[in-house]
Amino acid sequence: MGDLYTRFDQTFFERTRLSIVTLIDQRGSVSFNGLKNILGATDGALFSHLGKLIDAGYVTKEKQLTGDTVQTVYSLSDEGSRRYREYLAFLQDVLLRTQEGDDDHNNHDQ
Amino acid sequence: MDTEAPDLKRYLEDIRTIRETVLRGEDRLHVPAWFFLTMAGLIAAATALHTVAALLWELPLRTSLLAIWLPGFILAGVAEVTAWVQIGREEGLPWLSRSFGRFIATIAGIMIAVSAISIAALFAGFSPGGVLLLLASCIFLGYAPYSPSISILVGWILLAPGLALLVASITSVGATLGAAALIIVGFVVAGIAEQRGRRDDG
Repeated sequence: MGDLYTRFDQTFFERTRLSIVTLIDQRGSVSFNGLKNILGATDGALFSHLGKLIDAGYVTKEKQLTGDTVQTVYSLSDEGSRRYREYLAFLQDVLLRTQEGDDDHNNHDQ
Repeated sequence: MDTEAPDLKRYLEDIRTIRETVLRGEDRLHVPAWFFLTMAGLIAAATALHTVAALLWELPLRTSLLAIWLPGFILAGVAEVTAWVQIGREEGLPWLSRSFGRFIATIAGIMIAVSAISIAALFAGFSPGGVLLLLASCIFLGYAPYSPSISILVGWILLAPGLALLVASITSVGATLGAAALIIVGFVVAGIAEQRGRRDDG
């Protein structure tokens, strides 16, 4: 499992950034205010995390109409989407392996 | 195996983070309380005008539909658009986003179609009370994912008498008044429930 872990870019492995990517993936695209309302992060922290994701090429930004105002909206790039889904598949694999390990352990005890 | 334990803990934390984020993201879209109360007010006003026009001036139904109910439908549409603009602004949802854009396109189409069917049914002479109850039922059930849970119950409660009035072809002013009263109560209840829900969320 350690080898698999190092396969992934460290950019994702921070709680707020993982939340940001999850939310954008869930909604397709989200504005800065939308991210801030849901995640409860400060402006500075959110801006910093988004900057890291944009620099890594996982998130893109553009101006779009939200409600009746124009706001900066963030979306996952193709690379970002691919990496995120790869990580989801990896986590699913981890859960299955953990469960299999528990099952083997229980069978051995019996 | 021991070196994997810290990694496993991190993965499980990430799973928890993803789950919590998805749940928080799903729970944000709620039709504001003022929308329900506005709908109640519009229906009350239209019903009052319709009743006065029918009883005092013997205004034909067709004229009443064009002069009273059609403007009411339009005003309700304006209220609905205003509500979604407010939600879009507050939650930062872009009109062109995959989820919000598709949702708006879907709900707008459904509401326009259902309203058009209702107007056509009214012009065709179907029970006004029945048509109004079924239209209101569609609104409550259609918006149920974005409304307080009680909206589902209200939607079903309105459906039964609506079907009954339609099947029995009851077109009396009294039946229309009774139907409108039920719908108004439904919207007020939903509006209060939404207001309380928002206050509890903080």
